[in-house]
Amino acid sequence: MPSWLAVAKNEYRLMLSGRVTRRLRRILPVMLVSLVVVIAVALPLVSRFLFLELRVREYLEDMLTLPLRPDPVLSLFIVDTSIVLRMGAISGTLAFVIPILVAIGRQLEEVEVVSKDVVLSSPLKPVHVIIGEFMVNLIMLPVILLVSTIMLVPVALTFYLTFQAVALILTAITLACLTGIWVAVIASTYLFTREPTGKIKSALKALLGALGVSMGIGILFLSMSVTPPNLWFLPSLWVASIIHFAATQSNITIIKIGFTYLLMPVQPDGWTSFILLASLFVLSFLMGAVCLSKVNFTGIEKKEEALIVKKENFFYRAIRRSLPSPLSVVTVSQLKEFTRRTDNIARFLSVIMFPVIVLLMSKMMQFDFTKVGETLVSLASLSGFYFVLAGVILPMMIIPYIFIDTKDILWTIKKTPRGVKLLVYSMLAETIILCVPMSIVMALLFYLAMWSIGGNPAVFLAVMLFMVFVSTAIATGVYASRPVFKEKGLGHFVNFVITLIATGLVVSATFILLVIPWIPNLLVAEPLIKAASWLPQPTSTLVSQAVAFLLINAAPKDPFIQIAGAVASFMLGVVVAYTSIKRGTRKLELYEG
Amino acid sequence: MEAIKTVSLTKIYGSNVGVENLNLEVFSGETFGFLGPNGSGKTTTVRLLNCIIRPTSGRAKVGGYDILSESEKVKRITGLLPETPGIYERLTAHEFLEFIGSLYDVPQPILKRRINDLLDFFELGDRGDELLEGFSKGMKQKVLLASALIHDPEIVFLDEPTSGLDPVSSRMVKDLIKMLSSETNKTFFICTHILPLAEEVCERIGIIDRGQLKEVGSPEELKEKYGAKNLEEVFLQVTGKNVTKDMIEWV
Repeated sequence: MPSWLAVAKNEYRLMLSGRVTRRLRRILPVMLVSLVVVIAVALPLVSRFLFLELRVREYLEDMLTLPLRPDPVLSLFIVDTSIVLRMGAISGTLAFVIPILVAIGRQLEEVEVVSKDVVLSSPLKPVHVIIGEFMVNLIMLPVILLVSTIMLVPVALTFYLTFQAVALILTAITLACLTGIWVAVIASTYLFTREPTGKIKSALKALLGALGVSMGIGILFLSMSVTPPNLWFLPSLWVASIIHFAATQSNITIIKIGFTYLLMPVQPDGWTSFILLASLFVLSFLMGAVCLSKVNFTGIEKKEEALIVKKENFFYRAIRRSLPSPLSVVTVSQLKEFTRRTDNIARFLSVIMFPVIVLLMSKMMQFDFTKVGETLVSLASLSGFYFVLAGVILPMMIIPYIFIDTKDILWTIKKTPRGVKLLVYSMLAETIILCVPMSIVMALLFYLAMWSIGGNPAVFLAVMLFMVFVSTAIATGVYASRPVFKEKGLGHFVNFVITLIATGLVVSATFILLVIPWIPNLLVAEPLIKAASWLPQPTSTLVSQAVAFLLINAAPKDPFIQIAGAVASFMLGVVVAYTSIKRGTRKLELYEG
Repeated sequence: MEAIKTVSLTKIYGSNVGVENLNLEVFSGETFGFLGPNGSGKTTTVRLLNCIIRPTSGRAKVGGYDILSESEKVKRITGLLPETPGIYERLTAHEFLEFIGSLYDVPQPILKRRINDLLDFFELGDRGDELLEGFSKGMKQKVLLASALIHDPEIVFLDEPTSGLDPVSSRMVKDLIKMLSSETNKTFFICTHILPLAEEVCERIGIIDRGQLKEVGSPEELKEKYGAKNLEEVFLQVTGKNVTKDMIEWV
């Protein structure tokens, strides 16, 4: 077996080493490629079948609901094509950015845990490792193609996608994906051979985290934005232009604004984008090949250096003074253990990207001149959503990492007289101490992002702190109940979902109490009204009217009721938090015993 | 007086037996060696006696306290060096010992003195302010040994105490056990694979296999009973393990 294949096989096995995933090792690539082929063939066929029917139905619906439309016949032939650009931008972002995030992320994890002695002592050449790494990452290509083709279904329903168009789209996505994988593998090799210091690694982790968060938020905003942002230099938007050209056979996009249409040139146009993408692909491979010739695996082992810790600073001294002993000592120890892992801090700080991106996007959307009213509602609901998400995620950037690699120390702590109770409370204190300053900054940034809609900075701050406290307590309780000690693991996702749902329910209950006559009410109301529209009549109307009634009339005007509501919300949060901590402590005491 | 007494102590994990009907007595001030092959139930016994896990059935008293109803009292009078030692690598040795000492409510002035004494004893006095991540395995083991003694426990459980230690450090640990055993009235419960260690420091020895206690007695008694030259022969006979000498042809 060639060495590069051995490396690829080993990496593939590591990738699918879970209890469930290891059973999929043989079938997964075949399954993915088959699915891509089936969808790629089905898209033009389905598109051809649905194309006319859909257009006629749309026309008839428009004729019925909008009898005053100036030129309904013309509208039959003019379709809003900006949706293709938006979908294309999302596909392009997935195709180009995800391989980079995944490949570098995997390598960063391995750099920490895998001893390289085994590799270094074997007669392996750098090029074998790099090709092996590249090969194993190719598994992402069918995944990306699959996701992209599924995302193109709405496009296929609106436009007639030919086989050639589908081929062009898949080629563009493949080029972007391969370029992303190659760039990431070269960057990974750099990490592998240069053995970066802890600080560089932490910075890279923070950068990856920030990139991931930005991409997630950016994608949602892209899908909400009506006019495509003019970011011509991004490979993701080249993919969007190619998809737009393939679907519409035009380099002019049509934006529907009420009853009129706006024509805008797509920049860069489809073919230019394709040339740019192909050039990037060729250049990245050539540059990668040049870099490969300079890679050397010898002499890269990290030097063991003792790190002498200086005298305790004011921060820790203040905690020691403000908390009772021994909680103070344990909390300080926990804090030191967490904060001295610089990658923990980097990950934790990457949450700040939530309000930063929301702030940037909100500024961009305010200039989105086409649908001002709708944009404001979208901005409010999206920003509100991220406001809650950031509040929940912030403690989740600390608590899981307190548990990683601490299974053995848990036995030591379980043996002590107070058992795990002291540990759980110190974790709670630690998380709150770290989260409070971040909450203040995030609340202010969210306020700046949403100030045009309304609200009071004090309310933003109070709600953010409330969410963070509740989320911290729930997450601590959840992790104590279901501890996960490995960095990789499905358990983290399950715990995150449980925390998200539990905190979401408490926060929603608070909003539903309408103690805060403020825009997040929309957060509950808007999805409810939208969901109600799917219900059969008359239930749909009744639910929508009930929500609207509550929204308009049920907000307490009496200050006494407002205070009572605030107290009720606070109590609800305290009860849920206390119950969660209590349950978590009990469960952790019984862990594996 | 018994420091440890178990009556039909049993722990079952699903379909696996951890410990079955363990009846054991360890006397106060005694150094007791607990031997057994891998997976025989040594660590499970130690965890049960330290109230880390709960027995499926049976009873046990440690220092006169019941492990189920008086677990907090048991924990206060025992010290444990676990088999798979956990350590906060981003703390210094000094900070880690302070952390463990605080968990046992050792008053601060006493704690500071003990930390310095223990670090000096283990020849880590000048490295107390270094992060533990930079320590070798043996040095970490020394810190963990110190953490098991930081609250001056009456009964000390040591699970593989010399694991990862160089001969000098290993000698130091043996001397420490002997010294503490003779000069203080501490009881030591030592789980080990290193039979010369058990032979040298333990007054009595228990051999456990597949969750069941097979033999208890002093090293001399056991050697006499089995007509063995050393403890290794006793161990192999009791556990029924024989070394096969089939050599692989190509080696």
